[in-house]
Amino acid sequence: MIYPDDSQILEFMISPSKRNEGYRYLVGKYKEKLYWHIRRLVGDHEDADDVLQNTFIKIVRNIDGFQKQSSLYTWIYKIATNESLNFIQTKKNKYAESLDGSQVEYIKDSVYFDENKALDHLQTAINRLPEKQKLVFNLRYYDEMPYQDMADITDTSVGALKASYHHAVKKIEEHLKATI
Amino acid sequence: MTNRSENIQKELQELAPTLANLPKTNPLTVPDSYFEIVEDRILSQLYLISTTETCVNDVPTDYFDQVESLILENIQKEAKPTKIIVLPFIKPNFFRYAAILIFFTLCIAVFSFYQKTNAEDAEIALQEEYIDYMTEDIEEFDINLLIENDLIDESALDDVSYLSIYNETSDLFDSEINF
Repeated sequence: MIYPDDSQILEFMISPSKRNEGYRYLVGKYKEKLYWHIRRLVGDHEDADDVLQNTFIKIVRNIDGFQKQSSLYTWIYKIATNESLNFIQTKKNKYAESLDGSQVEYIKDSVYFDENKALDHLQTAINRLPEKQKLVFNLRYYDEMPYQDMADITDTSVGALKASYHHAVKKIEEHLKATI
Repeated sequence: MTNRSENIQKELQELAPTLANLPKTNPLTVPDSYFEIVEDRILSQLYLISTTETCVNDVPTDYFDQVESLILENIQKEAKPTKIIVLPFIKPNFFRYAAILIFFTLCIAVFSFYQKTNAEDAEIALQEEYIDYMTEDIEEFDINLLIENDLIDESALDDVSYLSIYNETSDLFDSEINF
């Protein structure tokens, strides 16, 4: 299905008569992208499912306050990122454990994980990264996002993002070299 | 592959060749038909939120144009003759004020009566003092003064009777001439 561009979706969502149509386009266009972005951060499918729904609810509730200073795409990614990081923080506090250490095994035990040795090592390496580096790596490696858009989403400078990405990539490379 | 993807792949190749050579396959999976199901579920929630929040915040069309006339109509329908209610606290006050008024009227009456009585007593006392003076203590200076002013007849003084002097001058006294 071909979806309208973001500015048109935004117009539909703001218009009372076309609001529902706008919601349909928004969810249709972004559900998969946002799901995978969230899933890579939180790990578990059930958790990602909850966070995804909360993200769309938050987008709709705050759409009137969207200032158009950034693109709709980066704005909704920002909401998804914040929702995911808040979820991870809440879960950490709840279970009083670091997901960074335990999440690797947790994800591999999940029903929804495709076994592959090399990719298994890659996931292990990614999940061992600090939260910020993991976020930056996922946005660049999987979503192929420009640094400027990443800067809008994370409220970080392009230079700092490049440094984070380089650190993350080096750590993963070292892990892969050691394990493969 | 897009230009952006190529640039990112080139950047990765320079930084981490092992990672760059790995297939970008997503090892994570989702349940069958998940994205169709989740879309319907999310949209249902969004429609519900939209409807609920619209109902709470919106008013019917032209509501503010009609509300004024509706209120005035209702006021006119409910308008009834004004019923005068005597509030209970007025009654005791009325008697209290009446009692105070009667009391002051009586006070004024009694005061007036005693004032009048005192004036009459004072007048009588003054007359008695005058008679005493004229009959017992009148002096020659005073008799001369009376004669000079033609208030008494000098011939009458032969048979001096102070009572007759009094009788002749009592009219003067009554007309408040000072001696």
